[in-house]
Amino acid sequence: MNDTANRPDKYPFTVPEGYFRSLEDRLHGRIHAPLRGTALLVMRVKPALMLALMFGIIAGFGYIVSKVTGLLYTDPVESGDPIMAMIEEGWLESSFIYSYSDEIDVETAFNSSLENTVTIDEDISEEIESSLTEDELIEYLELK
Amino acid sequence: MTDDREILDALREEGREDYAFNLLVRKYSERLYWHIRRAVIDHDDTDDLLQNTFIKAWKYLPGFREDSRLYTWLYRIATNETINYLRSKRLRTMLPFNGQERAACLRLTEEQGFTGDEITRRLYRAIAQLPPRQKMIFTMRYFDELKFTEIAAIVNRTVGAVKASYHQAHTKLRQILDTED
Repeated sequence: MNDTANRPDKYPFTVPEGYFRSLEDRLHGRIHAPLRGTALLVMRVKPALMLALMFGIIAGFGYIVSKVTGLLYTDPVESGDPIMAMIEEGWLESSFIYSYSDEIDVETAFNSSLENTVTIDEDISEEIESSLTEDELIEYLELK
Repeated sequence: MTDDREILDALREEGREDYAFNLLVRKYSERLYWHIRRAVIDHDDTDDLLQNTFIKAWKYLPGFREDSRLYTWLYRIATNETINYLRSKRLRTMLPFNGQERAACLRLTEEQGFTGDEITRRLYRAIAQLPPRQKMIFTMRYFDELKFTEIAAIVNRTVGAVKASYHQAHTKLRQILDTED
Protein backbone atom coordinates (compact mmCIF):
# COMPACT_ATOMS: atom_id res chain seq x y z
CA MET A 1 0.00 0.00 0.00
CA ASN A 2 3.01 2.29 0.09
CA ASP A 3 3.68 1.99 -3.61
CA THR A 4 2.58 5.36 -4.95
CA ALA A 5 2.66 4.22 -8.59
CA ASN A 6 -0.06 1.62 -7.93
CA ARG A 7 -1.81 3.76 -5.35
CA PRO A 8 -5.61 3.47 -5.57
CA ASP A 9 -7.53 6.47 -6.83
CA LYS A 10 -8.05 9.11 -4.10
CA TYR A 11 -11.43 10.17 -5.49
CA PRO A 12 -13.08 7.09 -6.98
CA PHE A 13 -16.64 8.42 -6.69
CA THR A 14 -18.69 10.70 -8.89
CA VAL A 15 -20.16 13.90 -7.47
CA PRO A 16 -23.37 15.39 -8.95
CA GLU A 17 -22.77 18.25 -11.37
CA GLY A 18 -22.59 21.65 -9.66
CA TYR A 19 -22.77 20.13 -6.18
CA PHE A 20 -20.06 22.31 -4.60
CA ARG A 21 -21.32 25.49 -6.26
CA SER A 22 -24.82 24.98 -4.89
CA LEU A 23 -23.62 24.00 -1.42
CA GLU A 24 -23.19 27.61 -0.25
CA ASP A 25 -26.77 28.51 -1.17
CA ARG A 26 -28.21 25.41 0.47
CA LEU A 27 -26.24 26.09 3.64
CA HIS A 28 -27.45 29.70 3.73
CA GLY A 29 -30.96 28.41 3.20
CA ARG A 30 -30.63 26.24 6.28
CA ILE A 31 -28.86 28.82 8.44
CA HIS A 32 -31.22 31.70 7.70
CA ALA A 33 -34.42 29.68 7.35
CA PRO A 34 -37.15 31.40 9.41
CA LEU A 35 -38.50 29.21 12.13
CA ARG A 36 -41.95 27.85 11.39
CA GLY A 37 -44.88 28.54 13.73
CA THR A 38 -44.70 25.31 15.72
CA ALA A 39 -40.92 25.39 16.04
CA LEU A 40 -41.04 29.01 17.19
CA LEU A 41 -43.75 28.25 19.74
CA VAL A 42 -41.82 25.25 21.07
CA MET A 43 -38.65 27.35 21.34
CA ARG A 44 -40.46 30.05 23.34
CA VAL A 45 -42.45 27.74 25.59
CA LYS A 46 -39.69 25.22 26.19
CA PRO A 47 -37.97 27.00 29.14
CA ALA A 48 -41.29 27.43 30.97
CA LEU A 49 -42.22 23.81 30.30
CA MET A 50 -38.87 22.61 31.58
CA LEU A 51 -39.28 24.69 34.75
CA ALA A 52 -42.78 23.30 35.32
CA LEU A 53 -41.50 19.78 34.70
CA MET A 54 -38.68 20.23 37.23
CA PHE A 55 -41.14 21.59 39.80
CA GLY A 56 -43.44 18.62 39.16
CA ILE A 57 -40.58 16.17 39.60
CA ILE A 58 -39.48 17.77 42.89
CA ALA A 59 -43.07 17.95 44.21
CA GLY A 60 -43.69 14.34 43.17
CA PHE A 61 -40.50 13.21 44.87
CA GLY A 62 -41.52 15.05 48.07
CA TYR A 63 -44.97 13.43 47.97
CA ILE A 64 -43.46 9.94 47.58
CA VAL A 65 -41.03 10.55 50.46
CA SER A 66 -43.87 11.76 52.74
CA LYS A 67 -45.91 8.68 51.84
CA VAL A 68 -43.03 6.30 52.51
CA THR A 69 -42.10 7.88 55.86
CA GLY A 70 -45.82 7.91 56.79
CA LEU A 71 -45.96 4.18 56.25
CA LEU A 72 -42.90 3.64 58.43
CA TYR A 73 -44.34 5.69 61.37
CA THR A 74 -46.88 4.00 63.67
CA ASP A 75 -48.90 6.21 66.01
CA PRO A 76 -48.21 4.87 69.56
CA VAL A 77 -51.80 5.52 70.58
CA GLU A 78 -53.02 3.35 67.76
CA SER A 79 -50.26 0.77 68.08
CA GLY A 80 -52.11 -1.30 70.71
CA ASP A 81 -49.20 -1.11 73.17
CA PRO A 82 -50.72 0.30 76.42
CA ILE A 83 -47.36 1.41 77.89
CA MET A 84 -46.46 3.34 74.73
CA ALA A 85 -49.92 4.86 74.69
CA MET A 86 -49.59 6.02 78.30
CA ILE A 87 -46.17 7.56 77.61
CA GLU A 88 -47.58 9.35 74.58
CA GLU A 89 -50.53 10.68 76.59
CA GLY A 90 -48.23 11.97 79.34
CA TRP A 91 -49.31 9.53 82.03
CA LEU A 92 -45.90 7.91 82.19
CA GLU A 93 -42.48 9.52 82.06
CA SER A 94 -40.31 7.94 79.50
CA SER A 95 -36.83 9.21 80.26
CA PHE A 96 -34.32 7.82 82.77
CA ILE A 97 -34.17 11.01 84.86
CA TYR A 98 -37.96 11.32 85.04
CA SER A 99 -38.34 7.70 86.06
CA TYR A 100 -35.96 8.12 89.03
CA SER A 101 -36.76 11.68 90.12
CA ASP A 102 -39.69 10.65 92.31
CA GLU A 103 -37.60 8.09 94.18
CA ILE A 104 -34.89 10.53 95.30
CA ASP A 105 -35.32 11.74 98.92
CA VAL A 106 -33.97 15.28 99.24
CA GLU A 107 -32.94 14.88 102.91
CA THR A 108 -31.05 11.66 102.23
CA ALA A 109 -29.33 13.29 99.31
CA PHE A 110 -28.33 16.27 101.49
CA ASN A 111 -26.89 14.08 104.27
CA SER A 112 -25.12 11.92 101.74
CA SER A 113 -23.59 15.02 100.27
CA LEU A 114 -22.34 16.19 103.64
CA GLU A 115 -20.85 12.82 104.50
CA ASN A 116 -19.01 12.67 101.27
CA THR A 117 -17.61 16.18 101.28
CA VAL A 118 -17.00 17.16 104.93
CA THR A 119 -14.70 15.41 107.41
CA ILE A 120 -16.15 15.53 110.90
CA ASP A 121 -13.88 14.69 113.80
CA GLU A 122 -14.92 11.44 115.44
CA ASP A 123 -14.91 12.78 118.99
CA ILE A 124 -17.40 15.48 118.26
CA SER A 125 -19.46 13.70 115.69
CA GLU A 126 -21.60 12.01 118.32
CA GLU A 127 -22.13 15.30 120.12
CA ILE A 128 -23.01 17.05 116.90
CA GLU A 129 -25.49 14.42 115.95
CA SER A 130 -27.18 14.49 119.37
CA SER A 131 -27.12 18.17 120.20
CA LEU A 132 -26.97 20.24 117.04
CA THR A 133 -29.89 21.16 114.93
CA GLU A 134 -29.60 21.37 111.24
CA ASP A 135 -29.14 25.19 111.30
CA GLU A 136 -26.42 24.97 113.94
CA LEU A 137 -24.64 22.36 111.90
CA ILE A 138 -24.61 24.60 108.85
CA GLU A 139 -23.36 27.53 110.96
CA TYR A 140 -20.60 25.33 112.34
CA LEU A 141 -19.53 24.22 108.90
CA GLU A 142 -19.45 27.80 107.57
CA LEU A 143 -17.28 28.95 110.50
CA LYS A 144 -14.94 26.06 109.94
CA MET B 1 -6.71 30.50 -1.60
CA THR B 2 -8.06 32.65 1.22
CA ASP B 3 -6.10 32.78 4.44
CA ASP B 4 -7.74 31.39 7.60
CA ARG B 5 -6.90 34.62 9.43
CA GLU B 6 -8.88 36.62 6.89
CA ILE B 7 -11.88 34.28 7.28
CA LEU B 8 -11.80 34.49 11.08
CA ASP B 9 -11.43 38.28 11.08
CA ALA B 10 -14.32 38.66 8.65
CA LEU B 11 -16.48 36.32 10.74
CA ARG B 12 -16.05 38.58 13.77
CA GLU B 13 -16.81 41.73 11.82
CA GLU B 14 -20.43 42.74 11.97
CA GLY B 15 -22.21 42.49 8.62
CA ARG B 16 -19.50 40.36 6.99
CA GLU B 17 -20.40 37.02 8.60
CA ASP B 18 -22.13 35.63 5.52
CA TYR B 19 -19.25 36.62 3.27
CA ALA B 20 -16.75 34.96 5.64
CA PHE B 21 -18.87 31.84 5.85
CA ASN B 22 -18.94 31.60 2.06
CA LEU B 23 -15.14 31.81 2.04
CA LEU B 24 -14.97 29.06 4.63
CA VAL B 25 -17.31 26.77 2.68
CA ARG B 26 -15.49 27.47 -0.60
CA LYS B 27 -12.10 26.69 0.94
CA TYR B 28 -12.93 23.53 2.88
CA SER B 29 -16.02 21.93 1.33
CA GLU B 30 -14.17 19.67 -1.12
CA ARG B 31 -11.57 18.42 1.35
CA LEU B 32 -14.20 17.71 3.98
CA TYR B 33 -16.53 16.14 1.40
CA TRP B 34 -13.94 13.55 0.40
CA HIS B 35 -12.93 12.99 4.01
CA ILE B 36 -16.53 12.04 4.80
CA ARG B 37 -17.38 10.25 1.56
CA ARG B 38 -14.50 7.78 1.81
CA ALA B 39 -15.99 6.58 5.08
CA VAL B 40 -19.72 6.59 4.32
CA ILE B 41 -19.55 5.93 0.51
CA ASP B 42 -23.07 7.21 -0.25
CA HIS B 43 -23.31 10.76 -1.68
CA ASP B 44 -26.61 11.72 0.02
CA ASP B 45 -25.31 10.65 3.44
CA THR B 46 -22.10 12.57 2.76
CA ASP B 47 -24.09 15.66 1.80
CA ASP B 48 -26.11 15.50 5.05
CA LEU B 49 -22.98 15.10 7.16
CA LEU B 50 -21.11 17.85 5.33
CA GLN B 51 -24.00 20.28 5.79
CA ASN B 52 -24.24 19.36 9.49
CA THR B 53 -20.50 19.99 9.80
CA PHE B 54 -20.77 23.50 8.36
CA ILE B 55 -23.94 24.32 10.33
CA LYS B 56 -22.12 23.35 13.55
CA ALA B 57 -19.10 25.38 12.47
CA TRP B 58 -21.36 28.40 11.89
CA LYS B 59 -22.97 27.92 15.30
CA TYR B 60 -19.76 27.50 17.28
CA LEU B 61 -17.34 29.71 15.32
CA PRO B 62 -17.99 32.79 17.51
CA GLY B 63 -16.59 30.77 20.43
CA PHE B 64 -13.64 29.35 18.47
CA ARG B 65 -10.63 30.08 20.69
CA GLU B 66 -7.97 29.39 18.04
CA ASP B 67 -6.22 26.84 20.27
CA SER B 68 -6.03 24.74 17.11
CA ARG B 69 -5.91 25.61 13.44
CA LEU B 70 -9.19 26.21 11.66
CA TYR B 71 -8.93 23.21 9.33
CA THR B 72 -8.04 20.92 12.29
CA TRP B 73 -11.15 22.16 14.05
CA LEU B 74 -13.34 21.59 10.97
CA TYR B 75 -11.85 18.14 10.41
CA ARG B 76 -12.65 17.33 14.05
CA ILE B 77 -16.31 18.29 13.62
CA ALA B 78 -16.57 16.32 10.36
CA THR B 79 -14.82 13.29 11.88
CA ASN B 80 -17.07 13.26 14.94
CA GLU B 81 -20.19 13.64 12.80
CA THR B 82 -19.07 10.76 10.59
CA ILE B 83 -18.09 8.45 13.46
CA ASN B 84 -21.44 9.09 15.20
CA TYR B 85 -23.30 8.45 11.95
CA LEU B 86 -21.44 5.18 11.27
CA ARG B 87 -22.10 3.97 14.82
CA SER B 88 -25.78 4.83 14.71
CA LYS B 89 -26.13 3.25 11.27
CA ARG B 90 -24.60 0.04 12.54
CA LEU B 91 -27.08 -0.01 15.41
CA ARG B 92 -30.01 0.77 13.10
CA THR B 93 -29.22 -1.95 10.61
CA MET B 94 -28.23 -4.38 13.39
CA LEU B 95 -25.12 -5.37 11.49
CA PRO B 96 -22.54 -7.21 13.60
CA PHE B 97 -19.29 -5.53 14.66
CA ASN B 98 -17.45 -8.05 12.53
CA GLY B 99 -17.34 -6.18 9.26
CA GLN B 100 -17.53 -9.08 6.78
CA GLU B 101 -21.29 -8.90 6.36
CA ARG B 102 -21.04 -5.12 6.25
CA ALA B 103 -18.54 -5.39 3.39
CA ALA B 104 -20.86 -7.80 1.59
CA CYS B 105 -23.58 -5.14 1.79
CA LEU B 106 -21.15 -2.63 0.34
CA ARG B 107 -21.57 -3.34 -3.33
CA LEU B 108 -19.63 -0.30 -4.55
CA THR B 109 -21.55 -0.19 -7.78
CA GLU B 110 -21.80 2.53 -10.39
CA GLU B 111 -25.23 3.42 -8.95
CA GLN B 112 -23.37 4.47 -5.83
CA GLY B 113 -21.13 6.62 -7.98
CA PHE B 114 -18.10 4.34 -7.77
CA THR B 115 -15.73 4.84 -10.67
CA GLY B 116 -12.55 3.20 -9.37
CA ASP B 117 -10.77 0.16 -10.71
CA GLU B 118 -10.79 -3.33 -9.18
CA ILE B 119 -7.83 -2.65 -6.85
CA THR B 120 -9.51 0.46 -5.50
CA ARG B 121 -12.82 -1.41 -5.08
CA ARG B 122 -11.09 -4.13 -3.05
CA LEU B 123 -9.33 -1.56 -0.88
CA TYR B 124 -12.57 0.33 -0.13
CA ARG B 125 -14.38 -2.91 0.69
CA ALA B 126 -11.56 -3.78 3.09
CA ILE B 127 -11.64 -0.29 4.66
CA ALA B 128 -15.38 -0.71 5.23
CA GLN B 129 -14.57 -3.56 7.62
CA LEU B 130 -12.59 -1.34 9.97
CA PRO B 131 -14.17 0.14 13.11
CA PRO B 132 -15.29 3.78 12.57
CA ARG B 133 -12.48 5.59 14.39
CA GLN B 134 -9.76 3.36 12.92
CA LYS B 135 -11.27 3.90 9.49
CA MET B 136 -11.14 7.69 9.87
CA ILE B 137 -7.55 7.63 11.14
CA PHE B 138 -6.46 5.38 8.28
CA THR B 139 -8.09 7.47 5.54
CA MET B 140 -6.74 10.75 6.97
CA ARG B 141 -3.22 9.36 6.91
CA TYR B 142 -3.38 7.30 3.73
CA PHE B 143 -5.47 9.50 1.43
CA ASP B 144 -5.27 13.02 2.92
CA GLU B 145 -1.63 12.46 3.94
CA LEU B 146 -2.08 14.34 7.22
CA LYS B 147 0.70 14.19 9.80
CA PHE B 148 0.19 12.00 12.86
CA THR B 149 0.32 15.11 15.06
CA GLU B 150 -2.49 16.68 13.03
CA ILE B 151 -4.58 13.50 13.18
CA ALA B 152 -3.98 13.28 16.94
CA ALA B 153 -5.31 16.83 17.33
CA ILE B 154 -8.35 16.00 15.19
CA VAL B 155 -9.37 12.80 16.99
CA ASN B 156 -8.26 14.13 20.39
CA ARG B 157 -5.86 11.24 21.07
CA THR B 158 -2.13 11.05 21.73
CA VAL B 159 0.23 10.72 18.78
CA GLY B 160 1.25 7.28 20.08
CA ALA B 161 -2.36 6.10 20.20
CA VAL B 162 -2.98 7.36 16.65
CA LYS B 163 0.15 5.61 15.34
CA ALA B 164 -0.92 2.38 17.05
CA SER B 165 -4.41 2.70 15.57
CA TYR B 166 -3.03 3.32 12.09
CA HIS B 167 -0.71 0.34 12.41
CA GLN B 168 -3.58 -1.90 13.52
CA ALA B 169 -5.71 -0.72 10.60
CA HIS B 170 -2.83 -1.33 8.18
CA THR B 171 -2.29 -4.86 9.51
CA LYS B 172 -6.01 -5.66 9.35
CA LEU B 173 -6.31 -4.43 5.78
CA ARG B 174 -3.31 -6.50 4.73
CA GLN B 175 -4.88 -9.59 6.34
CA ILE B 176 -8.24 -8.96 4.64
CA LEU B 177 -6.65 -8.39 1.23
CA ASP B 178 -4.38 -11.45 1.62
CA THR B 179 -7.37 -13.62 2.54
CA GLU B 180 -9.20 -12.53 -0.61
CA ASP B 181 -6.26 -13.49 -2.86
